[in-house]
Amino acid sequence: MTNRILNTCVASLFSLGLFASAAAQAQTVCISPAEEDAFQIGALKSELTVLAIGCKTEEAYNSFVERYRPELVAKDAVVNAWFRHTYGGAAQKNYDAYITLLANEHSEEAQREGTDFCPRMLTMFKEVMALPSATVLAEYAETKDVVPAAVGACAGPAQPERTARVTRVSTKKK
Amino acid sequence: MISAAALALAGLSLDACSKPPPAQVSTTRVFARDMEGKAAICTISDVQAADGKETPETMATSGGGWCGIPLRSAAGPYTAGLLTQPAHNGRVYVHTVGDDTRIDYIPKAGPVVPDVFAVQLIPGNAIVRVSVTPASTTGTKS
Repeated sequence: MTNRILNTCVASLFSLGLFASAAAQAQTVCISPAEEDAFQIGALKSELTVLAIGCKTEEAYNSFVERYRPELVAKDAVVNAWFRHTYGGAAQKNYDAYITLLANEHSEEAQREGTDFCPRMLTMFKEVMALPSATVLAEYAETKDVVPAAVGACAGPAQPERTARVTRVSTKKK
Repeated sequence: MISAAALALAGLSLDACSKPPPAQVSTTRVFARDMEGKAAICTISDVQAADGKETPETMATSGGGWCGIPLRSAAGPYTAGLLTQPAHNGRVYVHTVGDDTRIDYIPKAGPVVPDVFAVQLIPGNAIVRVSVTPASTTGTKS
């Protein structure tokens, strides 16, 4: 994760209806690689929360949180900071909406899979606990496709290894 | 009851009674969700990951769904994957499918454009670097 370049871009206006009213105009904003890591880890945590609740595996979830607590806290702070500088006074409202969006997306996936969801997905706890260190948590999260489709990479040149990555998130204009 | 040792002493080979080895099939459950939505054309090079080494892999896909690379270590599926080089024109999903670890690439909507990504598999730290190209409509289905 060396030489990452802060790369911000603004794409065309569109509405995904992610936050607030349906009439709200949303803006696509690219986030830095460091911020993307934070979003990935937040989404992973959300997925594992849904698993813990839906599959009654709170013990495994608690082990995950206990092992990765410093990383989870630090990345959550990055996400919070992003919402603050992007939304100002409306940060908390939009942060809450984003967290709700994540949980809803993961819950809907669980509903689609039905009884297969728990036996299929519970391996994630084993996987995440087998990682060599917290420093690769984001790289692991990126293989799990946990970030909703509304959040994706911006168009641009091919990315070098772990550098200059940009991701867009749908936001409502301040 | 006749023990294997007794049979061996009697000069009888247990191998003679054994059936030919079955085709490689998954001994663990394969979920329907992991088999749905495959791209119409998905052609991959036939390579195996090697611990501690980087292995180039090619993938030609028509898009419209996932194109997957099944891999397994000597002990079965890998425990986890790390996306060491993110794809730019699609998403990567690494998951266990039966006895394999499958690296799926899901191109963005629209025509498939060239892409590259790399996944490190643990344990063993095998790295698979995948070059994605659009499949010819006359290509071979995998």
